[in-house]
Amino acid sequence: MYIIPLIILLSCQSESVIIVDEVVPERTTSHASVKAGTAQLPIFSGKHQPHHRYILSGINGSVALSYNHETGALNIPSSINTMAGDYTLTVIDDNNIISNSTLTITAAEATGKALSYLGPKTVPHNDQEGVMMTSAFFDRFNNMTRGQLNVNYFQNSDNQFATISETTDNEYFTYQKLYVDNRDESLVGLSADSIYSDELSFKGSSGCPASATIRIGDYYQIADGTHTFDVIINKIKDEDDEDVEMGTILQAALYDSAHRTAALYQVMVINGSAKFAMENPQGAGAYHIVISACGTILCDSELLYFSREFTEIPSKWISNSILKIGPVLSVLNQKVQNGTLVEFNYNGCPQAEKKSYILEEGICLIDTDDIISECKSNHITITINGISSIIDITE
Amino acid sequence: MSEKKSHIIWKLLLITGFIVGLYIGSRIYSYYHTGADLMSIYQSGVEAHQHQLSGVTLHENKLSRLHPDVAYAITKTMSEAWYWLDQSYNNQSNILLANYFEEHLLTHIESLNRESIGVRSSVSHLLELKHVSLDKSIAVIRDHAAEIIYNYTIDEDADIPLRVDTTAYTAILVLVNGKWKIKNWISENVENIPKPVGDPAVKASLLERVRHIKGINYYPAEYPWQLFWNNYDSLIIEADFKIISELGMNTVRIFLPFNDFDHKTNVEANLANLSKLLDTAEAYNLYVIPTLFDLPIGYEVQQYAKYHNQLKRILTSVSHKPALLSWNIKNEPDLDFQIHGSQETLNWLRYMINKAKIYDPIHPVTISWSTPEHLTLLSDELDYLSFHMYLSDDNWETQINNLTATLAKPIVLEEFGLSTRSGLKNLLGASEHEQANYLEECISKANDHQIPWMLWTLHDFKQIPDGVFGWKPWVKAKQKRFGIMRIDGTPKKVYPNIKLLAK
Repeated sequence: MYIIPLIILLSCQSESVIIVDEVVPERTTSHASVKAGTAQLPIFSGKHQPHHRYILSGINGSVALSYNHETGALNIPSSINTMAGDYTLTVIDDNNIISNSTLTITAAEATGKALSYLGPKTVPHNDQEGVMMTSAFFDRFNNMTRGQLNVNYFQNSDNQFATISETTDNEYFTYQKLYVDNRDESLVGLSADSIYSDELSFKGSSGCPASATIRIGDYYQIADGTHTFDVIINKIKDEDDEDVEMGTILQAALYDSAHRTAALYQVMVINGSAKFAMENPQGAGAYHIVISACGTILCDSELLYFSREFTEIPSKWISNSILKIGPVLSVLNQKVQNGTLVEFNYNGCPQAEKKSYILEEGICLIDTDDIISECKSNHITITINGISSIIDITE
Repeated sequence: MSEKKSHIIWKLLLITGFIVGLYIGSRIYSYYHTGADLMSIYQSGVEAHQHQLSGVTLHENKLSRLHPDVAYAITKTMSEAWYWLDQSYNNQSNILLANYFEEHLLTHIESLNRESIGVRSSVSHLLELKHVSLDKSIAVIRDHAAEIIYNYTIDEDADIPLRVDTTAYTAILVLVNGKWKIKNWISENVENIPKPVGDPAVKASLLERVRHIKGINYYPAEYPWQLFWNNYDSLIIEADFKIISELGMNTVRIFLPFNDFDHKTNVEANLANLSKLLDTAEAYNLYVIPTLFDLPIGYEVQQYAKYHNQLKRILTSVSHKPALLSWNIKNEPDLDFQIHGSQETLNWLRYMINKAKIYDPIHPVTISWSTPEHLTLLSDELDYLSFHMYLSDDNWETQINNLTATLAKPIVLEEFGLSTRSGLKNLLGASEHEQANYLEECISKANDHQIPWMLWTLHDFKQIPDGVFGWKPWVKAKQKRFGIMRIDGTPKKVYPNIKLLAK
C-alpha cells in the first residue's frame, strides 16, 4: 500500500523540506540546510502522529525533540541551533524507525578573532627555516568555518613593516611560513574582512645556544648506578641572549675527577629549558656535569659526591661447602638492592672458575662443592659493584 | 559396623555438611552483597578504550609519516575522547571530558546528553592528519568515516532497531600542557566510501561447495573448546586432518573462542596457528569453516567496538587462504535469546554479518541455529543457513528440503551426533551400535535429499573444560563421548560406515 509521504517543512531562511518516508524505513529521504543562529528552527509537519518520536543526533550527542501542537513545529533547542554540523533527524513510530533525514546547520560568516598559533617562538635568522602561523576562523557562535578568504599577514620586524596576502583554500585552517633576517622581535598578525588575530611575536636567533644555567635536584649520594637525579637546564640563550628554539639538542656529560666521561646524554630544549634524569654513577668519587652545544660549553655543575654503596662484604661458611655472602648492607644500613650481581672468582684447576650469583635480601648462598677442586688455590674472590673481598680457604 | 565406627562416620558427615553449608551460605551472601567493583568498572573502560584505539585506522598520508609521534598521540587522544564522549551519552556523566575537549565544545556537549535516550557506541574511525604546525602545537585532522551505532530507548518496552551512522568531521586539536585537546570540530556529510565487492563467480563457486559439504566438527581429543588454541599442536592437527580426509570428508568446522582472539591474549600466535591450520587443511584437500566469537559473549552496543575489531582482524588476516570455505558468525546464538533478548542478539548478528561481508566480500557467511525452527531468522542477510539437530523428527529432511526451496538458500545440517556414554544419570545411554544406526540414518537421509552435513565429532574427549557445559559431571561426561573415535584413538563401530557414506 502506498502511503503518502509525511512532509516536514523547515521554516527558515532556506525553506528546506525534509520528507519523512514511511514506505522505506531507515532511508535518508531528504536533506535540509539552515544557517546557524537562526532564532528558531521550527519544523512544520503535515502529518504528525501522536505516537511519533523525534530524535536529533550529532557527533556531540542527541536530543529528543518535542512537537508543538500550536505551531505544528518541532522546536530545536538553542543548545543545538547554534552548533554547526550535520545532524540526523530520526522519526520513530512505535518500535520502528520510519525515517532518517539529514539536517545541516551551516556556520555563519567568519568573524571576530581568529585562532592563531605561531611557532616556534625563536627561529634562526635565515630565509630557509622560519616560523609557521596556523590559523582557523570561526563564526559568531564559535563554529569552525571554511571558504576562500583573502587574508593579509602583517609582520613588523626591526621597524620594517611587511604584508603577505593570500587566498585561503577551502579548508578549515590556513597556514603561512614567516621568516626573519635579524635578531629582533617580530610582531605578526592577520586580518581578513572582519576577522583579526591576536598580535603574536617571535625572535630571530643564531640557532646555537651560547649560555645556560644548570641546577641539580636532590640526589642519593651513593654510587649504585641505579638511583637517578634531576638535571635542569634553564636560561638557554644564544649569543644575542635570545631564547633558543624548541627542539635544540644539548649534550650533557658526567665527568669523574680524572675528567673521564662516566655518562653522556642528549637532551632537547622544550619551551626554553631542558630537564632529564641522570643515573647515579657506579663508582665512588667526585663528579661534575658539563652541558654543551655546537661545540661550546654552556655551563658546568658544582661537584657531586658519590660514596660507595657499601664498604664490606660479610661472608661465612655455614657448612663444609655452602658459603653465605651477606647480609650486604649499604652505608645507610639498608639491604643492598635485590638482584645485585655477585661475582665469584676461584683460581682453581684445571681452569679458573668464574660464576655469577645475585643478592636476595642482601644475601646469597654459594654451593662451592662443584666449583672448588682438589688442586685448589688458597683463596676465593667475591666482587659486588666493584668492591672485592678475598676469602681464604686454606683454613 | 561397630557403634564406634558409626559414630565417627556420623561425625564426619556432620562436619562435611557444615563446611559445605558454610561455603554455599558465603557464596549466596557474597552474591547478594557484593557491590560493583569500581576498579573493574575502570578497567573495563580502559579495555574498551584499547579496543577502540585498535578500531582507529590512520589514513596513510605524508603527514602521518612525517609526524608519527603526533599521529600516534592524536590517534590516542581521539580514541579516548570518543570513548568518554560515548560514556557521557550513555550515562549522562561528563567524567574526564574536560581532559579531551576545550571549553566551548565541552559546554555544548554538556548541554546535550542530559536525558537518557538510549546508548551509542563509536565503533571505528578513519583519521587523516591534515596539518601539523612546525612546533607541533596545533593540528588538524579529518575523520573520514566515524561509525556510530545508536540504540534509542524512548519507552522502556520499546524495541527499536539499531541505527548505524557513518559521519565525517574535521577537528582542530591544540597541545595544552603537553596533552592534545580538541579545540573544536564540525561534522559534515560523509564521503561516499564504496563498499568492497567480491567476485560473484568466486562466491557462487564457494556456495556450490557448501551444497556438497560432507564434513565434521573438529577439536583435538586432548584439547577441546578453550583448550584448543593455547595448546595448538601442528602434528596433532595434521594427523587428524589426514584421518578426516581419508574418511572421505571434505570440510572441517572449527571454533575461535572470542577470548583466544582478543587483543589481551596471545592473539598473534593464535592467528598464526589459524593460518597454519588452513594450510594444513589445504594440504589434505579439506575446506574449513571457522566459527567466530565462540563461547558466551554479550551483545551490548557499548561492546560492539571490540567485537568489530576482532572480526576485522581475523577476516583480513586469513581471507586469502584457499582452504577457507565460509565464515560462521556465531554458534547457536538463539540460545542467548532468553538471556540477552532476541532483538539485542539479532541486532548484533545483523551488524556482524554486514561487517563480515565488508572485510571479506568473497566468502559466504552463515550462523548456526540450535534448532531448525530458527532457520528463517536473518535468512535474507546470510549466504547460506545452518542448523543443529540432536533429536531428529521423523521427516526432518523433508522439512529442510521445503525450507531450502522457500528460502532459496543452501541449508547445512551443521551438527548432529549421539553420545555413547552411559552412566548413573543415563543408564540407557546409547551404545556404539545405536550411535552407528543414528549417524548412518541421518547421513543417508541427508545424502538422499542433498542436504550438506557435518557430524559431531571426530574424537571422544579426555576432558571438558569448565564453563562450557556447566558444573554437572554427568552432562560433561556425556559430552566426552560424541566422537566416532574412542579416547584411545581406536575407531567406534560407526567409523567404517562413515567412510562409505562420505564417499
